[in-house]
Amino acid sequence: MVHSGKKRKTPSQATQLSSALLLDDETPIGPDLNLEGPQVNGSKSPSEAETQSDSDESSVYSELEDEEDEEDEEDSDEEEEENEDDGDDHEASESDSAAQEIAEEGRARSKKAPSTAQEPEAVEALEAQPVQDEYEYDSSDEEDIRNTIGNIPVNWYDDYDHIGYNLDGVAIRKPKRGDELDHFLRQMEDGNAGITVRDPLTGQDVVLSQSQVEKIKRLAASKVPEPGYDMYADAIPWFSSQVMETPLRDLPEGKKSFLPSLTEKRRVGRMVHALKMGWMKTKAEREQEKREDPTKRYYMLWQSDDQPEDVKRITDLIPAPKMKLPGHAESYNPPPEYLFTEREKKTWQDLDEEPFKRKLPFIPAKYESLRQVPAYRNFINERFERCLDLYLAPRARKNRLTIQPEDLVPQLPKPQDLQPFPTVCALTYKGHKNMIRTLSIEATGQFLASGSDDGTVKIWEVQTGYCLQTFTMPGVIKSVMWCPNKALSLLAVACENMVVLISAGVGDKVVVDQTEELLKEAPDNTGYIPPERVKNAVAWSLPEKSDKLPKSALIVLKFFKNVKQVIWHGKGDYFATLVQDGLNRSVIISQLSKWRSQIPFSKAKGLVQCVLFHPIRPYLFVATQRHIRIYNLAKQELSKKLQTGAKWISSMAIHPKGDNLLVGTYDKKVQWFDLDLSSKPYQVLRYHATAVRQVAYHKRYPLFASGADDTSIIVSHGMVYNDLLQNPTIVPVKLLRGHSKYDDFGVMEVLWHPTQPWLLSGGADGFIKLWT
Amino acid sequence: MTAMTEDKSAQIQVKFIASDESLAVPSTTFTVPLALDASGLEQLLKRLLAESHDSIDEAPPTWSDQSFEFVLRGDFLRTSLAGFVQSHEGVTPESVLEIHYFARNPPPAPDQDVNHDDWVSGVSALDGHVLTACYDNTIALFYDGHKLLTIPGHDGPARDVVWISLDEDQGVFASSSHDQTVMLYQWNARTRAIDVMNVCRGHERSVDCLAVDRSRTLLASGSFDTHLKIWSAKLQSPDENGGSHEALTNGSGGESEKKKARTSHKTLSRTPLVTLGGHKEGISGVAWTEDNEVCTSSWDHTLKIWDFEMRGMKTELVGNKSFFGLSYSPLNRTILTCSADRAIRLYDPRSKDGVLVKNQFTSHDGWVTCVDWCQEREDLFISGGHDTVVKMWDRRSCVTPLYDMKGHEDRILCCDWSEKDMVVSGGADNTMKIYKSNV
Repeated sequence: MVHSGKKRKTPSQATQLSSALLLDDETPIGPDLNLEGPQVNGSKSPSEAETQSDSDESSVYSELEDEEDEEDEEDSDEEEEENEDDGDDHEASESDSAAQEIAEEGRARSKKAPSTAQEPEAVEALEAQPVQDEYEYDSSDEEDIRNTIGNIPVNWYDDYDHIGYNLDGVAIRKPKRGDELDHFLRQMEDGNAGITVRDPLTGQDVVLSQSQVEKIKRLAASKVPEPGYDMYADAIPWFSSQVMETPLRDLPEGKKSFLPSLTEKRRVGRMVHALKMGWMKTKAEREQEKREDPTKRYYMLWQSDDQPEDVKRITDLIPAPKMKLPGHAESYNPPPEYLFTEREKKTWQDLDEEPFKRKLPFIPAKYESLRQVPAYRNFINERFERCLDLYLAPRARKNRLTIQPEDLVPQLPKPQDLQPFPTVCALTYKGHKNMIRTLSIEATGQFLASGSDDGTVKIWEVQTGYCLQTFTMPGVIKSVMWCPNKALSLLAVACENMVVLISAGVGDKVVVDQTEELLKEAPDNTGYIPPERVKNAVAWSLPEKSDKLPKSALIVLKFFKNVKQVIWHGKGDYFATLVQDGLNRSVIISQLSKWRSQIPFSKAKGLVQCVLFHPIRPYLFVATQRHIRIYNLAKQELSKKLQTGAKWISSMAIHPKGDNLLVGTYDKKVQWFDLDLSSKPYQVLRYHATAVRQVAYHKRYPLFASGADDTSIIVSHGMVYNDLLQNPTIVPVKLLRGHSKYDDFGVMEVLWHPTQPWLLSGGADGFIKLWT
Repeated sequence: MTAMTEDKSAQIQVKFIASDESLAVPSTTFTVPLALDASGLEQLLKRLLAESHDSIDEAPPTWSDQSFEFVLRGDFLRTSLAGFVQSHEGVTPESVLEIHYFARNPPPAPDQDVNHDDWVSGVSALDGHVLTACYDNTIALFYDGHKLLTIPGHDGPARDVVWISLDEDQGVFASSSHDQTVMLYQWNARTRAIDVMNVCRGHERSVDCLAVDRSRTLLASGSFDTHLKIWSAKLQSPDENGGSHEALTNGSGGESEKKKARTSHKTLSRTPLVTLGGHKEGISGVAWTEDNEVCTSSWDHTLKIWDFEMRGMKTELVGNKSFFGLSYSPLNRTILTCSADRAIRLYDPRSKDGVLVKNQFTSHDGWVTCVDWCQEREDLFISGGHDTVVKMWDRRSCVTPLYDMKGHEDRILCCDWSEKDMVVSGGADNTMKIYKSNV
């Protein structure tokens, strides 16, 4: 055990202690109560003290301490005696215990007092002292073991005759105490009564020493308890820039300081391996190599000259072309062969007008010395031009688009995969003497009707090309159409200002007879008064001899102006007629069964070019020069207007399913409208070189054709899908030529066979051709 | 290969295979020069024949003044062997060429040329008597180039005509027309009197084709109204009117058209025994294949074989073009068809699997409108088309026809080879032409 005094090494520690005293006052004199045990320990037993003094012989304070030790020994002896004396004194108070502690402190303090006074020397002595390991012993369980009750309030023992137990487990008797009178008498007798306090742990009375009294007094006066303490002493710069030979902190060294790092070991191991394998080179080796490598020894002074500049903006930079280095000719003292002869000089001078033709921009000249070389005249110009070149030329490689023109064309199936379609002319129907304006084929596809400018309507057998019937009409035939009603064998012929309904006389005999029977007299129209507008426009009648009509003519409709087109509705009862220049009476719809007509439009929307019935729904398509209007006949309203963008529409054809419309125009275009898609054309085919006269859809095969004035017919594949999301596929598959030009007209009419992939075309040359 | 064929000394191995047993030669392989042509081969063959037949036959050889046709790989040899090897892929001078040979027919010679008033749409020959159907609504009968009579029986253009029977006393024939009727005629050969015996009514469109069965008792007619009707070909005199007429109409399967007979006091209206419907479009050709089997060709791209007993369809062969006509040969039991293109196609109705088209003959330039098998020789047939040429074919050669018979000035509409020495054709140039075939 070390003497507690040795622990008090510094005044700073002392102040700390005193401040602790000030803080922890529970009792009136309390501060010293909490002074730790060592001091108390120090005064435990004489035997211990003796051993201590023995061990402390080497101490600097040995002399002083020895003296004090002796005193302490005496004191403790007395105490022990007292203890024994007052063993049965049961009266103990807190103040007594507090006083006891102070008493002990006082003892300690008295020992201390001289040491504090000599502190500077002590420091030096400390420095000289061999370093003692402060962790050599553990004082954590130090406590006052005279009483083993532990850290509990002493007043819990108030009602007992003992105040705890000593180490041997024997109860510590409270010393016998007299009553107040005894106490007073003792005070009167004893001179030390004022300075006697009771030790709360032992219940003994302790007489305070002079120094302890002094300290209490000072504390009460709020002074520093140590009378000799210099509060304002100079601070010793413990933590200074000076490096002490021995450190202030005497912490044992960390494990790191003596154990090698594993990671570092590994890294080093790796490096050693790399060195062994030759993957890594030592610095010396590297320097050696550098010395031996000639490329490292020399380097381009103007390195950026032959390397592309590192310009991030331009990805693939082409370095600027270098200027030509000066040659012998540029020398101030050129070899004689570089000097101009008279002739060369003359030619050089002759090229004054065209200096770019000169081989050299200057005349090589010889000078005695470099000093005599005059300034170069063109220097500024050449520099400027060079800079301009560098500045203006974008020396970056252009990324050309790698799109092939073929890639831009949509992927279309090959025409040969889209068979069947007509490819060759199989038959020519000869007989008409003038241009054929109109064709119509019977529903079964056995007979064909054609109308021509020579005033005849002919009926042909399609397979053989035999002309079965010829009807001579009084004028140019503008339009012919078979009645789609299968119970009738009827032909509507537009001629001049008439529409003549003719019994065709071919096909089923029974049907022919029925037709003639049915239509030979007018229906009963009594009670029906046609509106004035209609009455003026059209008149129904049976044929008269004066009309010069063929015998099989059944009904004649006379219109107020020439009729341009006649077209049947799909059911075969109604037909629409288009009157040329009829203004608001252009379109007239007539009913065959009742002999009645009506004019659906009150206003003229333009010059009507052609009309068309929808194959399924009650729609009427009316094409004016530029637009197509679709009227709903059931609701009697305009349902849609198509913007063709064309200058002049020539013809229309509707897909048999009714959702697609084909429009031919005089400005060489064929337009495909998807009626569900938009009011603009889905596709515009510009394959014809001249005006398109007629367009036609096939009823069964995905084919359509267009005929133009340049005698060409273009057959195209036009597949319409039931899937609404899939757009129609349009592929032109065949160009048919065979008609000859007549009066700048080529093909006037194209028509598909209803069941076979055969195309019929009527030309201005008076021939009908069958293409298969 | 080119270098070799150009080389004059180049040779090729050939083997002769006879189509006719009597002309067989030993089947040894010969090496002949490539420069050899048909006449060279013929000389070689004749020598071989002489060698092989010398010892056996004392009779004068039939082949001594005969010329031969050589067929290599389905084509006639018309050039030298070298040319053949060059023009045919897959033939190398190293391989052994099998040369089929048979006696060449003498070329047909133009015999008669008869003008009509309108297009000739149907011809039929029997025993030197030729019937023609004409678009001017008439039927004409010719014998040896002379018109025996003209029958203005129909109301519309006549489409087809067919002999039913002909003997010394009388001839019976039928004709069809655009007026939707088939007429049965009785011709008294001695008095040269003609009677329209029966008018077959029932078709709703033009009747385009007729065919008589082998027993000469049934007449099949195909019409544009898509129906095939079978009629009795037996004549009925008006005296027999009554019970037998009813008997005939018993089998008029479903078709009970009671048309008002527009007949004269002599003619009898007749209703079909059977009506067979199934085609989607007009029937363009009809032929009896067996006793109770009829084959029809139609515009709806199909050939159908009908069973007369079952009154229904038996087989269907689908093509890819509209058929315009067909001909059946009882000798080789195959069907030839012509359709809306340049090819003549050979169908075997009995084969169930593989390709339906057994062979395709393309030489015409334009639609082929008619084909007809030779009734005597199983390999020969004729065809006529819009290219105004009647061609005689051997079915073993599918590219080169045997002979082209030119002479028509317009499209040929019909042809007939039912008499073996008469090739009859009619066309849009209003003529009927007869060639002597000498088969």
